[in-house]
Amino acid sequence: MNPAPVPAAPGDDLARLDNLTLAHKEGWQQFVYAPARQQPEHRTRKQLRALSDDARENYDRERRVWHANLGPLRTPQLVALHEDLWDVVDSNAQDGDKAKGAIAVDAFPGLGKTTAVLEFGKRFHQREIKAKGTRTRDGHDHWPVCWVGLTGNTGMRDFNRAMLDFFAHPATTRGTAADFARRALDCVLSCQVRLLIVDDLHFLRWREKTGVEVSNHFKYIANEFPVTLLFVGVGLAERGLFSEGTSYSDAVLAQTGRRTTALGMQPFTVTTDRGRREWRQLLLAIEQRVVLAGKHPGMLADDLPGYLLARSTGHIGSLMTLINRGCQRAVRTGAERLDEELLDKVKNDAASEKARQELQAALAARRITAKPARRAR
Amino acid sequence: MSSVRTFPIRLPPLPGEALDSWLEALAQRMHACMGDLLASVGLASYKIRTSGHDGGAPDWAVLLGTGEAAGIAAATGIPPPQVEAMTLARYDGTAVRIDRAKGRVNRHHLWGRATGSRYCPRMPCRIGRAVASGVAAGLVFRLPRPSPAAGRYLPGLRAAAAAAATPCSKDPATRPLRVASPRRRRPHDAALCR
Repeated sequence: MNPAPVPAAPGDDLARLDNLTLAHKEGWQQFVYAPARQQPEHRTRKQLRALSDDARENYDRERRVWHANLGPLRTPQLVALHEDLWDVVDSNAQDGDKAKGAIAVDAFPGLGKTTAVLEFGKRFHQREIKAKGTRTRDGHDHWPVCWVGLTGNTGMRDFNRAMLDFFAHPATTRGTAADFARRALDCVLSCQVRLLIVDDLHFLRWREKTGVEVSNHFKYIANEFPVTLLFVGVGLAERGLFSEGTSYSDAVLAQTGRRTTALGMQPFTVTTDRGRREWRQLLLAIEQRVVLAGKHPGMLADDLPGYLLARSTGHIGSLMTLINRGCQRAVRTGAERLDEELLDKVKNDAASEKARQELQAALAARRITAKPARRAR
Repeated sequence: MSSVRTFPIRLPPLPGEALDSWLEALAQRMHACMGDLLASVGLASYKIRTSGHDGGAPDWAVLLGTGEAAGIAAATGIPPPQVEAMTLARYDGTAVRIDRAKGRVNRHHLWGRATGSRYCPRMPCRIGRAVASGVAAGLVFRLPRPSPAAGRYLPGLRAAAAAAATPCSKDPATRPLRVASPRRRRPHDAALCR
């Protein structure tokens, strides 16, 4: 027979990236092999005025898409998390009879944990495919990473079905949870999956029957599947993922905790000079990516460090949302620059708006500063 | 067939294997019911096929409808011409004659046959699938009997004979004899397997 077509590394159609789901292997592959976006050329106000209507419309559309996809930025938090993830994943090369250690990335919302984990999954996928190819020795598709997002009422059967859905397995409608698990195991073994990412683990209702069932199921996966489980969620420690407890359900949950390495991500803080320098570096990196005609050096890093810290409370997710929306408004209104006046009109997420007042008051009273100390020459 | 997704698990067809034999082997490999697998590769149900809306024959092992070969190819990674060559349409005018208007094999010419698959589910081994392919193509000949004696030479047959003696379960993986199919399929043909 002719060899089956190798899954191509797509990337020819970046526009479709806004319509993909990582819950399917096709979407995951598209995400992994999407080429880096090309930054639109920087133009001055004079050059903007010289553009025809059509050319201006195209340029603005390019900038809209660009500003909506500024990340991910290699922040110190992301770099540190990736180092820890590589340590654990690469050390999980034991023989199949030994359970692999799991990882839980546990942090508050808006700190970029899903972004960081997706970026890690992407690099891991690329590394494995580069080393071993797109086909397994038996001729099946090689999928080093499987991504499963939990929902509000995920049970064991739903979880297994989500795995089957990722792989495009035909049998997702009929069968028991055990049938689904066996099919999922077959896919994992046949496709040589090595990293199973479970996003939004906090959706799981741990203390209820389904939560304990799924927790048991994770232990089964850790035992039977040759994969590293990578959980992502909010408040996992508070929900008892790592607790020993005294009751039966606590003990059941504890067996997951005993095998799980907890990793976190911290918000940016300006209580130390190092923290302030990191915040400045981040703003400089964002500044380089912003494509506005009225942009000037230091527009964010020198003029707005305290303001942006107060608006985002140091959370990268909130900061990127604010910058994105601010850029969209700056392009639309023709302001072509980011300043306090424009950003004050931009609404940010509820949590950062709520926490903004306190931080803003502290900055105004000069109890804290977001600017690093000048280095002596 | 943009809605058809590619299966992660590959099972290449054997040389000369019939389409129905191969798809059933694929379903069994993936622990799936035949009906689920057919839906996943984009094959219309028997009811739709017999209503003549899709352009294919009532029996897809005879003639595929518009885009059906592409759907199977997309799901399995096998090139569409190879998929079409696994149907009886390949032998139209040589071993069989197909009434394309009705999408049926003309029973009065050459090796015409009645409805239903000639795939012998008691022959899940590679040799059994290959032999069944010849049968499906209308080239009727006797299959080796699945007996302990044959099992010595054909290990797959031994398992098949054992499976034949066990009652069917709900689990497709242990149900080689009754794979759900929207098509009418001829049950184990005692005369052929004698």
